[in-house]
Amino acid sequence: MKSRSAVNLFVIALVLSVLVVSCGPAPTPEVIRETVVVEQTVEVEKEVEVTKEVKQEVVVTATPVPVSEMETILIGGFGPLSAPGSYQSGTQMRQATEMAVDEINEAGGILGKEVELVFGDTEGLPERGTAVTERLITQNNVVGLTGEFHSAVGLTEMEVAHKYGIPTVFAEPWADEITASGYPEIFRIAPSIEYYSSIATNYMVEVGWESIVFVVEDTDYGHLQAEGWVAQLEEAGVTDVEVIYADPATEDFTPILQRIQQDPPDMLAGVITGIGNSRMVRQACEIGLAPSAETAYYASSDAQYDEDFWENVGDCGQYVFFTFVGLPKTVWNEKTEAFVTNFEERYDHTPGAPSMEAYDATYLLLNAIEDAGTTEPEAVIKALENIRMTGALGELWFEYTSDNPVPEDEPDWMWHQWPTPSVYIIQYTEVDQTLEEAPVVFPREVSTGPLYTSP
Amino acid sequence: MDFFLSVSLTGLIMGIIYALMALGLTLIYSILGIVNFAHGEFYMIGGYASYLILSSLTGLHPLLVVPMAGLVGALFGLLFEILFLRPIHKDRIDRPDEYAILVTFGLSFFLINLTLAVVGPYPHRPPSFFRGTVDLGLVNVSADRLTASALSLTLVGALLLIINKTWIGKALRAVSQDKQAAAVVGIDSLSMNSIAFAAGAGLAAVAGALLAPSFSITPDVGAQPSIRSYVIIVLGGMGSIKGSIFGGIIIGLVESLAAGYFPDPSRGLRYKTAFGLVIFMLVLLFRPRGLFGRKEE
Repeated sequence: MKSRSAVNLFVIALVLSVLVVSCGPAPTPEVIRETVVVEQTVEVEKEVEVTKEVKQEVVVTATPVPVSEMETILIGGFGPLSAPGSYQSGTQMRQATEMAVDEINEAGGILGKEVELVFGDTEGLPERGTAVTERLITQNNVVGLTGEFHSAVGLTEMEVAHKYGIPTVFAEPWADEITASGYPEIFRIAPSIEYYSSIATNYMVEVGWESIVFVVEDTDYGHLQAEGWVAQLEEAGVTDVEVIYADPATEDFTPILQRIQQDPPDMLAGVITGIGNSRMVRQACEIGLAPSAETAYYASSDAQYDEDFWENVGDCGQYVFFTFVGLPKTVWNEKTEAFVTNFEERYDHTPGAPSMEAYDATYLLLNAIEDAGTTEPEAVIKALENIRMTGALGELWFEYTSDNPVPEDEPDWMWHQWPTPSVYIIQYTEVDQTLEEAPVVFPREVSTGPLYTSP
Repeated sequence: MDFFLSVSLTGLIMGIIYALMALGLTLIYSILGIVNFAHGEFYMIGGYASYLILSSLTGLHPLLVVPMAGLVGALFGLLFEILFLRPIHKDRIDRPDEYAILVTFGLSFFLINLTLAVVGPYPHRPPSFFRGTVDLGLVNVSADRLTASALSLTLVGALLLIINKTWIGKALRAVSQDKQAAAVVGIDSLSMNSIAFAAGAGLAAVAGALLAPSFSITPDVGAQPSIRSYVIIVLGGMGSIKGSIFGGIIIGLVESLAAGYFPDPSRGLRYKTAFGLVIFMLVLLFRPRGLFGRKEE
């Protein structure tokens, strides 16, 4: 019965690992920074022992190859293409990046060269992000990086890009620390978490909900949002707020939803990415909790993928609202129109915000290389600081740069940050409504429907 | 009291479906002596088979597709058993235990990535068996979930009948107890291996097809049901059919009650799986062969 012993051992190991993962804190990104501690004794009138901590950052520069010697201009993309990462969003990001590269190549390339994309699968794991970025820079010799979906992964990739001084335009990670790092190589066009959360918070306050329950996934995505909301709601005087953490792969939310139903809140939020989003919408609806006249339902941004959303939630999706990063149809520009049409033709799927961001981030990087006239990192970084471009997301630029540092009254994350990312609240008021048909309900100055439509 | 009963009912409904899934794994283990690490992927195949058949053949009632999905899973299983597992039982493999682990893990990765490449990463959901919810007095249960649970219960009963009352069932039990003695009375253990693996894969596929309208499907949807099934079969006793049924129901109840009653509500759902595992570890500590496992000889 050797196999039985092996199986028992395997299952025990599995159990222990699951328990450790369940009970442990959220994964913390590794920060590559060397700290040298020096102890020094100084003789004065009285003998005093002084301990000094000296932080020393190690910067390694990748050796750039002159453009004339390059056969193609290689850029690196990264994002989750397999589990446990959000591979639905990662796949869209890769597709949009490929589309941008193909369009640029069809238009003659950059600096007279064809652009080549190497895309790495980070699986949503910080350690994979580090390995993929190292490989892209040191093995593939990419001249710039773009993409990423998960903040925890972006934080580790950022450190590697900084170590080698490679210009990086992040498309989707929201953690404030990404740009608050102040690294010269790091740029971002996604909203910071503080900004993103504030739109939903202001909406909740304006509607007047007083008791709110957030069921959030136990990842950086869920934690960052929950922390932002709780702090901002408290500041706005909404204190009856509860946060419940869930594994994003949870199949059955019913028991916790039944518990919430004992004292139904004014608003229930299911901030779960991927398949968990539609599962929770359905299950909350099936037990009669939300969306209902008593309890509103706020879904994760995955609700923007309208075809998938309706296929998976059915009638339960009516009255659900969510935060959308990107431009609603009413404010599309020519670039947005072209992007959406081409993406749908090419991939037979509605593009979501991550794809729009990845598309624009790729254009920003490649246009900066064109503007710089070289792939030399410092020149590309300078070009990115001075860039102004109309993308699918609107007018893109970076307000605070080495020539215009972040003022004291602005948050640190404004460094190399696109200052005006578009964040809206959208509500599906009819069954099978498309994203374009669904009204924008907040901010009110751009809204196309009532503030909140109740069942 | 009402809350306790409603949460228990939710757990019981899920537990019956868990039991069906675990039964397939038990069947494979008790006959072939291997653990199928791709069991969750047969669950996934069942879900996708149901979705794809219903997408291409409109007008078909979703319930009629469940046996078809089971058949697709069983055929995949049969093919895999003949190509990759039969060499173990023909003594062509030097290290059969390690080989079985590697080859079933390999199948798992292959099927996930194949599905990702062919069907894509987006979640899908086949149409409901029956729309709406059923008011059971204490709790509203979706008609889909209730249907899945009732069918699972029927299938578990049918399987018990087959195992205990038919010639094939007796032959399977004979091979499970003593391969050589079974051979002496004319039972072809290789054929029984194929039947058991195909049946186990088919049961997982049926579970996938039954739950797809409730939980939707993605290429990696089998991971959680798969881990849960391993826990159930060890908790119930490796190779014990009765153990798988009770194990499934226990895990279903514990997960549901833990999420409903854990003192810190913010962590109740997060630790839901862990509670089932704690029960499992306690059973292993005090009764290492599981609840209904046979004593090692």
